[in-house]
Amino acid sequence: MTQQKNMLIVWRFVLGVSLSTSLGFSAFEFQSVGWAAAAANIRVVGAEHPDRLMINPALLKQDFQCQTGFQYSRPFDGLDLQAGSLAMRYYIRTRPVISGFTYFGDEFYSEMMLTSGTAWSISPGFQVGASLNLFRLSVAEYDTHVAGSFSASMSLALTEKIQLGSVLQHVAQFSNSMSLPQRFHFGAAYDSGLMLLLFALEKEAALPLDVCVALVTSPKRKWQFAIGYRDLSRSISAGWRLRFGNFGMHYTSVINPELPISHGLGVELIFP
Amino acid sequence: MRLWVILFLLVTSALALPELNPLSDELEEPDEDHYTNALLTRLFSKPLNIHTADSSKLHTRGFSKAAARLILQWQQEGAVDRGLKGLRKNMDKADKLILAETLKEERITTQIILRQRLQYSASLAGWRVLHKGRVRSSWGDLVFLAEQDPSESQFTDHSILTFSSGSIPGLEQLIIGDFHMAWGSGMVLNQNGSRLSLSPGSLARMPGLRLTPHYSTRETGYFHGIAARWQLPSLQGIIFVSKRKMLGQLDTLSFREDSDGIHPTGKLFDLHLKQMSGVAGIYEGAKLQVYGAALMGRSDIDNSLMELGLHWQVSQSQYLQVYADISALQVGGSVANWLYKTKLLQLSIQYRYFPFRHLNSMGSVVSLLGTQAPNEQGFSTRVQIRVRKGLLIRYALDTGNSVRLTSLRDTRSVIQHKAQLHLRSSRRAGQLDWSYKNTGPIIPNDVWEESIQSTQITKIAISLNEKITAQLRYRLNLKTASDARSRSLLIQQRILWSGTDWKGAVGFVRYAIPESDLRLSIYESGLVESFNFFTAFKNGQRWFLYLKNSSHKLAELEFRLAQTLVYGLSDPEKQLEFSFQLSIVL
Repeated sequence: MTQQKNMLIVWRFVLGVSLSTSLGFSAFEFQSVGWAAAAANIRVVGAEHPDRLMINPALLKQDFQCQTGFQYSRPFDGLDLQAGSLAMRYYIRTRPVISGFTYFGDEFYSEMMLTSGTAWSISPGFQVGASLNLFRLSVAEYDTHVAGSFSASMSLALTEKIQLGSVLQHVAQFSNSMSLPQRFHFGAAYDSGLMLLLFALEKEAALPLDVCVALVTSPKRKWQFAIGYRDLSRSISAGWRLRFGNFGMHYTSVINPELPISHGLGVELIFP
Repeated sequence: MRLWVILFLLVTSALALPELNPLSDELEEPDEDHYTNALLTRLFSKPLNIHTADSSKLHTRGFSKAAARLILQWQQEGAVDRGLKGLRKNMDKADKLILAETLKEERITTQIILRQRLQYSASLAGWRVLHKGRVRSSWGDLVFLAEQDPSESQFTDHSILTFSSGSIPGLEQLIIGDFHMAWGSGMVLNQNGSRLSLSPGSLARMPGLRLTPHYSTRETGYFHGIAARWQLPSLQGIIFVSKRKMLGQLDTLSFREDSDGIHPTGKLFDLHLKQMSGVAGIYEGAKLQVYGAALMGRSDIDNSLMELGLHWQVSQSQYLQVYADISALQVGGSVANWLYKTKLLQLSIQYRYFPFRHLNSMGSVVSLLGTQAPNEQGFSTRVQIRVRKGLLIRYALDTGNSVRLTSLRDTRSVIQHKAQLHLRSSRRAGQLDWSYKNTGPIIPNDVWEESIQSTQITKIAISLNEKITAQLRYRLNLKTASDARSRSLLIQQRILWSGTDWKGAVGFVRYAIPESDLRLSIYESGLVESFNFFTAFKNGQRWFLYLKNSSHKLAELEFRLAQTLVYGLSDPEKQLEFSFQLSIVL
């Protein structure tokens, strides 16, 4: 198992070097932390949830209750890797804000991200979002790299049941030592009342397009179930979420055909 | 030949009708320039003030002569007090639509347009991702664009951020960022917005100076810096400073900017920093306009270029233009245009003489020998006859010869004839195009470089456009090109429909293109719509579906699905293309 883990790290670097840009291109590949991981990790559209808002702040409603969420994940079970995030949506005066922290790695390799975003309502049903991100990548016995970036996003309610969203991550970057991989997400959500169908196209600039589909049952009920599929990695995801009162919890699982299974747990707290 | 005659008779016998709208029609051969120029003209035409516009502005806007007379009369009689009711009453339907559009634009104080496009290119086996936006306010226009072509590593491989304002005191317009300019004949400066067509007006130059923000995916031929345009009662001018990075390749003669703008990861490109500044001015008299421009640029060949010109309205129907350019090192070239324009007949003649070609200039004057030819002289003419309402005939002749011989390559000459017949009635329209191009002689280098494969190429195109119902149209296009050895053929059938919320086209193309010189292009959606044309290579067939939905008050969705089947020696190669665009207009 240790060999598999070492191979994973080695391939991460091989990919980074082969793209001949910087270590940054090999970083931040693992995003499957949080409730969205159960729904093919689609974060560009879907129900408002702190881990989704960290990617697409344009989904922030102008009127909500403050909420915090903590999630912990064991990616690729058995490789001693850990991932976690802490996210919070709140107001600064009347402006809705989402802030969060994400971690992935082990004792040799670690990725950390701090993000803060907000949304503006431009017209009924149409919102634009912006976020500032700070990344830190460190590898034992190597230099630590830090980079800042700006991401832009939008959300449009096409009808009462159809929602569109898009995100352009790291469109502007501020770093001398690291270049972050730009990602474009475009997604559509159809809410039938009983089920939420999610579809997304995700493209990292230097990689092929990833087609993602997911189904979330009874999104407004106490128990929710989600399944999803990502085309590029051929990964299948599933999970459940339980909400009672101001408290919520979820479990997610991601099965990749060539890697061990990933498990994730999370708790949420809504402030009255 | 008999078949062509029969088809020609079929097309012509069925037709007869009203004025043409060149912007929305497919009179010209499709290419990227045609599309870009039409789109830019439409996007950045300055809002017209109906209360103060003069006759030329009204005409440029598209109003008929009768409507322009009505508006001018209405202005003189006290426009504000009387309102628009009486004016509308006396206009026909087409003019009423233009008036409504003009008044709508006048009212807009802030407008935001956002576009996102995803497009899979089967031939390049990759995705093109485009984001663009425009914010129009009383301060000016802010435009931005970010594009990634297949195999490039960043979404911002080509990015634009430009501010254009018409509200700066003392200036007509100020642009900071990426921009295009149009002035003079095009000998010393690129001319975005000009495209040689069969129209007689395309040979002559629009007098005046134009500044336009760069807002397209074309990655060549624009400037980066600051530009200002001012206007006094009889004097207008432009001044600009530009410093732009250009990616391209350095060959034996000079640096050549990469024309397709695709910069794949791993391929080595030469980075060229081009600094340029310039000033141009026009004195406008009643019938005479005198033009002068100076361009200073840091380059390997020349440091400065000058251009002088005049535009003389000889009579109500005749114009004469003469332009000459001078460089610091060489005697430059000259261009003379004569244009005769009446309702029935339009005629233009151009003579070009370039004893020395500025290899670094981005001039877009007619060049039949190619931009790499060291010298060239030529003659062009265009004739357009509107025989009756709905019947238009055009003819064009272009020639190109070397001024002097410095190598075997300079013995080449080109002669090209083009003719077009266009008929239109309320139910149908038909078009017949014919062209013949003779290039010669072929020299050993051409064979070695495979640059010229044919000396004589004849092209024929027939188009039939039938209005089936108010919403449904059928279009048949038949194109062929031939040289001494082979013939290419393309047949396209399209059904187009437009409803309240939906607009679409579905079509099938069958083509056989034996060599690249005989390639053929064809429109799939409208001229100013997205994903609009296709260029056929090899032997194959293609079907496509284009859909546009405008049901949402803010959003417009465009979608195209196409599959091309290329026949080869082995199994047919399938190429699936997918294009999607979301536009939000606020």
